[in-house]
Amino acid sequence: MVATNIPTPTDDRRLHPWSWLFAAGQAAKGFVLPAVLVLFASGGNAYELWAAVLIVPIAASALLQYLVFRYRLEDDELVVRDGILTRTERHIPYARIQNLDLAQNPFHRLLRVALVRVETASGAKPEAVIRVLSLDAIDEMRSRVFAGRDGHPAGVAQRPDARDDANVFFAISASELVRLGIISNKGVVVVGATLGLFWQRSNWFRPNQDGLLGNILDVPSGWFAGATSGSTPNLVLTVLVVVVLAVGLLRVFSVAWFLVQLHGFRLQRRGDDLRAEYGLVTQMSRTIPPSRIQTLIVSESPLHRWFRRQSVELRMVGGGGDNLNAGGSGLDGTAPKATNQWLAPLIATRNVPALLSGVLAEIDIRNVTWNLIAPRAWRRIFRRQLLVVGCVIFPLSVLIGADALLALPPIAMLAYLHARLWVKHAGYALTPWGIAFKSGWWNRTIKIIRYGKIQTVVKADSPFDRRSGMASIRIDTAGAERGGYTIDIPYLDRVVANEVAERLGRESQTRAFRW
Amino acid sequence: MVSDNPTVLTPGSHLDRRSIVAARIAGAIGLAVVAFPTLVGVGVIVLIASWHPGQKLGLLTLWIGVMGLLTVTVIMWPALRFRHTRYRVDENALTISRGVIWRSVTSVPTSRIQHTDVLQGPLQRQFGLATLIVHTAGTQDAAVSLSGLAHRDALPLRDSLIAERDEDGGDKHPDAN
Repeated sequence: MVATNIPTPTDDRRLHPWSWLFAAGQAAKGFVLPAVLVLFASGGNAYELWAAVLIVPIAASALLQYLVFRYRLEDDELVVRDGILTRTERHIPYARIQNLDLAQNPFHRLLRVALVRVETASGAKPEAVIRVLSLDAIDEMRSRVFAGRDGHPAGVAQRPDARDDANVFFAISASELVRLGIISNKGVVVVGATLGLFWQRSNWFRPNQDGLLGNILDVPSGWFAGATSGSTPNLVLTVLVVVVLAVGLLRVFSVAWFLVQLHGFRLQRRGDDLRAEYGLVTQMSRTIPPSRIQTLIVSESPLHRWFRRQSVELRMVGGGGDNLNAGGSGLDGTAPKATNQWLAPLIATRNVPALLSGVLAEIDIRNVTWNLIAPRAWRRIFRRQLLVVGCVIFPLSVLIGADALLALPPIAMLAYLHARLWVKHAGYALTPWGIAFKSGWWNRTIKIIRYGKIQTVVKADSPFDRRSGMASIRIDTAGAERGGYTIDIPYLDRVVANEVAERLGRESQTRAFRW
Repeated sequence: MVSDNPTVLTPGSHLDRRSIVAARIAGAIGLAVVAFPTLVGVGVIVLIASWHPGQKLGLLTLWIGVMGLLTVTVIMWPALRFRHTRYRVDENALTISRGVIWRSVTSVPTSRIQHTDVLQGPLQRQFGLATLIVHTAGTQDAAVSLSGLAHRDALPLRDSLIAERDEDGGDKHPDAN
């Protein structure tokens, strides 16, 4: 866009001198930790040597990476040059840069540097990941990139070390994070990894009792072995204790995970944009331009309902995704699988409408009229489930005897309940500003798309739809999950589906699409 | 801009009729590719293998049956597909109805079209046909394609779609708001 007329030295700039350290650390993290564990557990043998041998090329390639990496701040574009054997030079016009997200872990903070992700609208992957720059270099880059944007005073995430408390409109307290930890099952990952380690210890490697870690790990795995070889009541008790412990631990880990990852989560208004900041160890600072939100997702599980809470996520194009949700480590800069980001990890249900209209003024879900899907659809759901169940149960009854058929009535009962409840809770709302679709009765979600973000509208009918006089409506948006439409409203009465398709077509045609 | 005329319900124009013949020829080529190797296999078994004559007859019948079914499909399907495919372009949207068994009506607002392609395969060139591909910023429908148009229809169609886009939603600049 408008470039400053002051000629600036467009010298090549390098990464921060300590960059290679972080690059090496990043590359090594994947296998050095397991290698070290093995080292300890096996009491030290050839692994030690191999680990050392592998670290040398990693460090060397990281150093080389540092030496070849250059970036240049031209008048109107950012030029990034990279690559050891294959040189790539990437030109990113400033006008195309949506935001610069920063991440800082404690080591970064110690050296006053940060990792920078350059985001454009080009998809889920950041256009460039610059690991790492000094905070001063980031300031310079920020002022150059956003120089021409008067309307975007805060088009960039602020330095994570400088927080101010103005215009905070959503924040999450520690007690809320504890609730979030109890509600979600993030602990499964941690516990799974721990159990995996036990399994490895007792089956794969013959324990060497000299290892320090070996001794510690052998206690539980030995205890497991002793308990499982005992008599039956002993076994039942053991299983019970293990289950209770596991469930408890799961929640404890989950709580700890959220307390660390989302510590101090808050949304701030910066000019037209929102800024989300969070993290205890790795501090994240990311910018959310509300106009670029493609989809809003409100979800709740039964535990959410118990606490009268909901979670709100958003989907953007080129937002880089929220590594929290995608399972990435947050610092590696790899492309996350989904581009969901937290808007509010946990919020009181009654405050959700206010939050949504706070983010996008036109959105008002307080007074929407929910239309139900065709009530007779429950029969189709029920029939389909019976078919699936039948395909499992009947072969099973041939294999293990007619007793298997006894499972049929209770399963059919559950299928009936599920079908009835699903149809009862599914619905859509056509509002002046967009469409909302709610689905699920156990875990419930509401997806919200503004008409301006609709890319295509599809009315589809299968032979089963035609037989029962139904059709479904599918809506595609940018940045949807792979292999599916953002909203798929099934089991609509055919006449209703036609009306919905007409309305969606009209509403989306009369609005221009802006990223 | 605001149109009252129905956009989804009203059927549009058919594809070019020559697309039926082209699709049959393409199908026949595909059928031949499957038929000849399997025929050789069946022939080898019938002539050489020490199977029971009844088994050999069964195999031959199976081959003839499958090929017969495929032949009928190759002849019938293009006509069915032709009958169930309609498209319409107005100032607001490109609408495509298609599907013989699983049917769908896809509506792409003109303002959502990022760019368009017109492709011509070797067979399509012989028949003066083309494939129009419309790219959107969507995910599932990132590319909506319509094959079997007459090439002389596809070009003006593409031009009109692009022209419409330039008029209203053309500014795809990321900070245009």
